[in-house]
Amino acid sequence: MSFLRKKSEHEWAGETLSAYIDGELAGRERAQVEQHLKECQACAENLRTLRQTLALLKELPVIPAPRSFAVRPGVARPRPAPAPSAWGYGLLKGATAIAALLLVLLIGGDLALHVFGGPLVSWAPAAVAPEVALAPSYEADMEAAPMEEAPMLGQQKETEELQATPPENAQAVAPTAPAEPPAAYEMAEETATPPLRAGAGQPAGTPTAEGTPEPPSGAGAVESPETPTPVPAEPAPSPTAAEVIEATGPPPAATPAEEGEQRAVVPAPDETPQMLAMTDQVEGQVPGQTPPQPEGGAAPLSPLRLAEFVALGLLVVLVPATAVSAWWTRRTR
Amino acid sequence: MDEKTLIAAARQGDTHSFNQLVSHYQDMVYNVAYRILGDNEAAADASQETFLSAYQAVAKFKGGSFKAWLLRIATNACYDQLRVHQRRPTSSLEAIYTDSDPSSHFVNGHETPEEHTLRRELGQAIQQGIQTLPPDQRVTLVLSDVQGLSYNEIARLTNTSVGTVKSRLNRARTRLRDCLLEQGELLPARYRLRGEG
Repeated sequence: MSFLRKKSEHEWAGETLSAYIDGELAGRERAQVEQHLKECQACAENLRTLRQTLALLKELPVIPAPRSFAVRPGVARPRPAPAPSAWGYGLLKGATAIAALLLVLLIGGDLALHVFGGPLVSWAPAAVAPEVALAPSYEADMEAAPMEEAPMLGQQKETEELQATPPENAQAVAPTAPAEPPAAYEMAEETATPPLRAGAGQPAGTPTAEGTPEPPSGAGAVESPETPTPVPAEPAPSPTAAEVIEATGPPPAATPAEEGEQRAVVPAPDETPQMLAMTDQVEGQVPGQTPPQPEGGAAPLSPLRLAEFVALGLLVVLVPATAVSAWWTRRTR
Repeated sequence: MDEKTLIAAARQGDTHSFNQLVSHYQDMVYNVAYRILGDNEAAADASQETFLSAYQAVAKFKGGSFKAWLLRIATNACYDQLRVHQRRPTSSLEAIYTDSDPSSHFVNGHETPEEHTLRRELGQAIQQGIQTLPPDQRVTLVLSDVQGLSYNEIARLTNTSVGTVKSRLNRARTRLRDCLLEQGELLPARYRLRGEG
């Protein structure tokens, strides 16, 4: 026990020898060190060599400056105020923090909407809308200009698939779809793709999926109350949708087949953009037409997603700017 | 003119008055920089940077010790130089160990050529010992044992506590002592630590 105490005292003395030499120890500590130095030969030797080291350091000559460091007139001016770079750095730092916080909040909100459902689904079925809503308008066109009886291979296959799986398709087009956002969203993507695939099988020179005009989806939805297909084009689960369900009942089994036929018609070689545009014009004159839905070519960005992109873009710009500003501020300080 | 008058004139942008302060303190600043950096050119750069920064910031000088204020700027300039040297460690080490002590060129009229050689060897040994210290210990050692600042002054200057200064100084001196002991055989007999006493 006394060995440990002696060892710790030895270490303590070793750590305070420098301050002891400089006279920086208080009276009691000084007395303790002096007492220890009498008992410990190693510490006494340390003290002696430390004093010699200090003496050698103090013997170092003063080196004259190799040249004058005088400031040339006009080269620099006294700065009464902090450098603007420091001010700008603070501003950039704050802006970056705010942008980062905004992005986190937006992503959090987006995720929450995905998990718990909500307004997010309102724009998901909109991708389906144009295609599905075209159906009634093409019915009239089919009579005026009968299309070929045998659709192309890919189209026929799709039609068969659609006929073979009425419940799934019914779910996609039924008004109940908005109640289940993820399923509706997935189906929206599925149903949005066939025109593209069908377009790939078209002969050269015919209008492709990109080339086909995009009529307002809402027009067909109003014109064909007997078919439930246009109903999902409505933005959100609304009382109107519920009314439609009650009025029409569950979607008939024929509906998918009907839709399949219409799908087969869409990429038909005879169909020209002019014809479609004319059809749109006719439809546009129908009274009580609902406002046009977003374009069906690509899924529209929700305001939330748009805000996320804006915040991300801001961060991408602000982070390097802040880093450069920090470097410059440190350099000029 | 006294220092306060020169500082007041410098605050108004009088370069001539400020340069009088420069000529008074430039040896001190250069020596501190050289002992910390161990390289002639780096020390000169740090000194120039110190006086330029001091001139640009003299309007913010709130009184007190101008020497301490200048040493604070010089210390920061040295830290900046050390960072630059850390990015180029090879050239830095080469410069440190091949650079002769500039004090060796400064011949004292009273010493013989032998004494001059001894002093030169000793200066190099001490400088090499200082270069082995971590930057914080190096700065503390130079400010205390080369410039003779008190513990309180060093603590204020380096933004640390007196306890930290005590600790750094003790470690720096012990390490330098050990370094000189290792080179004992190389040192002139007069300067050998174990040879005396």
